[in-house]
Amino acid sequence: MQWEVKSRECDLGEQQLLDKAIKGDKDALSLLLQNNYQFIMGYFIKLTSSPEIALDLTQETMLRAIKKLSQFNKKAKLSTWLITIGTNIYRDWLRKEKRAKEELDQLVINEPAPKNDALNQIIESLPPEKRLPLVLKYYYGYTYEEIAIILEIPPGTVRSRLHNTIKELRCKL
Amino acid sequence: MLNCQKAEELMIDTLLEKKPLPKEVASHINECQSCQVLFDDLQKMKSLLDEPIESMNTPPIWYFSHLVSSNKEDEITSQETILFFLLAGFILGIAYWVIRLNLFGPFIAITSFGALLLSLVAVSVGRETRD
Repeated sequence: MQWEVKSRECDLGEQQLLDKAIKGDKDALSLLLQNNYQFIMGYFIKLTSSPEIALDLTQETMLRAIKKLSQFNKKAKLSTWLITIGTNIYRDWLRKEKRAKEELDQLVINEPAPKNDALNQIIESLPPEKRLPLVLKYYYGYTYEEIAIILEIPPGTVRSRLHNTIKELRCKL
Repeated sequence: MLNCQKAEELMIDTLLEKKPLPKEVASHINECQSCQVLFDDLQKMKSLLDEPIESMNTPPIWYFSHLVSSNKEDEITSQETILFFLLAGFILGIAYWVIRLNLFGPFIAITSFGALLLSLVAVSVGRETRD
């Protein structure tokens, strides 16, 4: 199955489901998570280039969302909130991997995926602080302001970082 | 008149925003060799970035139901809160009258009998469930 970027439009059905989920309706919450699964999964696949790691991170994101749903203030879209949670989980994962790598020098962080080699090489060659804005901007179409909120950095930094990333990638091509 | 630096910025913005190239940039590219090279490189990069990747199927709804049920703590409803306070008041009331009327003997006898009955029920239900 080919991955496609899921529409981020928050339709009326999702709003109603969200209201029910916040009030404690478990079926509504399950449906919302299922609807956003591919969206989050695709994000992690782009970031990690590993479906196995992406699967674990997606599940962790879902679990954290379930536990923190009462803190969701509905100012942002649910998908954006999930991406924010996912980004924090990805950063935690990176820290753990770094620590584990330091302890075990020869540990391989990412299992290379057999497909999309050129694409994987491009994204994997970037450090996380450049990889995250690129994925959020290019594949998810978030605005600079939205990315700034998700990554907790100024919008100007997001733009300059993205421009530098493109220039860096050009040199690597 | 557009200079090369501005044209470069606009080309990168166009790539990131996935918008069509502005006419002024297109005409600049036709006139400038270095910007033409940059544009070709960006097009190459775009085709690489747009390569579809394999993904996994979405799990069935029961997977999410299980995830939610096993991790979402049930919130205490207002009805349950009222019931809790009623029960607490009832127990305190009994304790008050037991102390006031000095009915420790009958009270201990009744509660012991009640506890015995509850234990028997629990054993019976437990056995049925196990079988």
